[in-house]
Amino acid sequence: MNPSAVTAPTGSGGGGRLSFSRSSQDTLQIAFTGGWKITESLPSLSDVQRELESGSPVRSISFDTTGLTAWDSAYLTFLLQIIEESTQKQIQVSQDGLPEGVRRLLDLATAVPERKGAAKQEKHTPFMERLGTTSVRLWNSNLEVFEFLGETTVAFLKLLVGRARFRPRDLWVTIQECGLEALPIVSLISALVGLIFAFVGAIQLKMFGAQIYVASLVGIAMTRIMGAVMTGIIMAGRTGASFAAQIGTMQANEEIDALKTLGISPMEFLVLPRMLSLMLMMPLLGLYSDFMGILGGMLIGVTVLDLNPMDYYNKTIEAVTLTHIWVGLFHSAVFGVIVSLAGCLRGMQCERSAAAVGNATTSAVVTSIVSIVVATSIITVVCQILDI
Amino acid sequence: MSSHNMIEIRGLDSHYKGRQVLFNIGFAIPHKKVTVIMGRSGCGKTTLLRHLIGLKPSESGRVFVEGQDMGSFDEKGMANYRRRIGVLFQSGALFNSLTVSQNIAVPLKVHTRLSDETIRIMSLIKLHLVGLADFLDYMPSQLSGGMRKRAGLARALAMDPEILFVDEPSSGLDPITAAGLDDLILELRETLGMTIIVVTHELESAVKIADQMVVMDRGNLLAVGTPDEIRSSQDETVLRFLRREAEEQQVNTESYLSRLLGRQYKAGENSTRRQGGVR
Repeated sequence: MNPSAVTAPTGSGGGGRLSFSRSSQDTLQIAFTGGWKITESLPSLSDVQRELESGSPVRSISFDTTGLTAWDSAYLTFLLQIIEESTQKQIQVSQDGLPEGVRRLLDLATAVPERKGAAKQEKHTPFMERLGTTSVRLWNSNLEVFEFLGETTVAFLKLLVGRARFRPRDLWVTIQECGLEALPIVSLISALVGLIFAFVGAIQLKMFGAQIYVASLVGIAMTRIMGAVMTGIIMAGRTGASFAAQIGTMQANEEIDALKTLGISPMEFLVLPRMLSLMLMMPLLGLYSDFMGILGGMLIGVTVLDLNPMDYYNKTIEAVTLTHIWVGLFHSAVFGVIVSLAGCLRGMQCERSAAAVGNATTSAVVTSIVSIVVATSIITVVCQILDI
Repeated sequence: MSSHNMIEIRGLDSHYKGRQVLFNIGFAIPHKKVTVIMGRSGCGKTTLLRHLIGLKPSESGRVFVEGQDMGSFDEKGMANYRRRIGVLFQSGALFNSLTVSQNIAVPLKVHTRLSDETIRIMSLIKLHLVGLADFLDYMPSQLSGGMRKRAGLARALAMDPEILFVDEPSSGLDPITAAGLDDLILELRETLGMTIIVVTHELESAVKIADQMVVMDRGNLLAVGTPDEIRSSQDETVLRFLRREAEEQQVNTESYLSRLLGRQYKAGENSTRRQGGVR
């Protein structure tokens, strides 16, 4: 009999039902009736467990399936659970009463051999061992970062002596991608940031009748730090993530291996043009962001605070010194290195699967943003100490 | 070491993520012959290939290329070796952002100072060789699986390598396309006199193209010899592989059940352990 012949339609409707009877003192007969299918509501194993524990001890179990109208894997799973339970309690199970299809499937299901080492064993690891493993992992990941830094430096040195090999076209394409194409989003965010600064400052400064100083506030904040930081964060989410995804996909697609076997260094061919273009574009984008931020601030100054645009302009020129711009540019340059390094590093570390590419992208963005914030703090403290 | 061997492997062990995947592998790959490394999926064939193409470093004194120890290659030595080899990866591994002809031109542009026109003609010759001359300006994503592999082969042949490595030429291809690729490999050996190493799990294709067969099982070397020698082998595992029989494995119903429904067992153990931990 094949399973389909047994799987008759559930004419009676409703789910599967169980009933118990004792054919002798120590033999429990379990009768299955109704449709035992995944979509039906089914009795739970605890009914059987309760029956096994009540009354006189059971030595064997038999099945009656004359009332069974339909079955599928749900029934099979229930049977497997009963067999497992019985094996533990050393109760004999007779499969004679089961439909032939069920018996055959049970045989198949229980015939799957265990692959050695295939099942992952859950193991309780002591605290010290976990601490040790984590430390070693952290140390190794640090080593990887240093190794990557070293390889990047070598690639840059090769570039300086004109021996780095990459397609110049790739450089131009990446410059376009992370320069020109980033302008709209940088414009929007920077203008809004400038606008917010002007608003927040205006409320405080208005109390002293010193609205005009909004120009200095926005000008200095944007040029010194905020322009660079905002651009850095935008580029981390936009370009850093894209670097990691591009290189990660190439890793998953064996393209990096192919490059290596073609005798081409992926560091020179993939990483170098990307780093170079972002390092060139980031300061420019930072400057552009400063400008947009000041424009946003001016919009608020002129419309909300009724300041004269010329006054606003003059005050900005007066407040923003070259030093502020240099500090801002320095920030941008550092962020350019950070974002491109993080993107390329995570991409190169990517494993060979689609999920790993996703992880690489996330990791690139997180690494970039954390590093940007840390770097900003360090630069700010150093500038404070040096009185810049 | 005999001079007619291109590559010789001695006592190669390999580990992947803390697990040993190759055990004491040793055999020689003769000059200008097709050597087929064969075994079931997951037997370590591709890992072995990665050692041979220098993507996975092996300890010193394990892999020799024409008598030179590959473990002792410095950067320059490795670069020289790589210029002598071509690799066709399982997926073709074409650069997805470049057209087919640009893909083939990459190694030529990087390693030679040929003019663009010469490079174009050379790429076209290679594409003719693999029957893809009409697809010069297609992007890899526009090609079928078989075409992508052939384009990958054209790129692997771009620098006229002495040794060609092919990873699973027939995987993911229909039998007719796969047979076509086999013929192409044989033709390459005939016309260009290449040393070719093919990794495959396809028995039929292996017997068809191999001058020498290497049979692997679970990271171990089972047999090395001509297809006829392998066929007349008395080794039970080799015979089973040739007969395409699934391995008989000991069935342990009880352990299967406990793995499938093992909540009772495991839950019991865990709870006692946890209690112990709290105390």
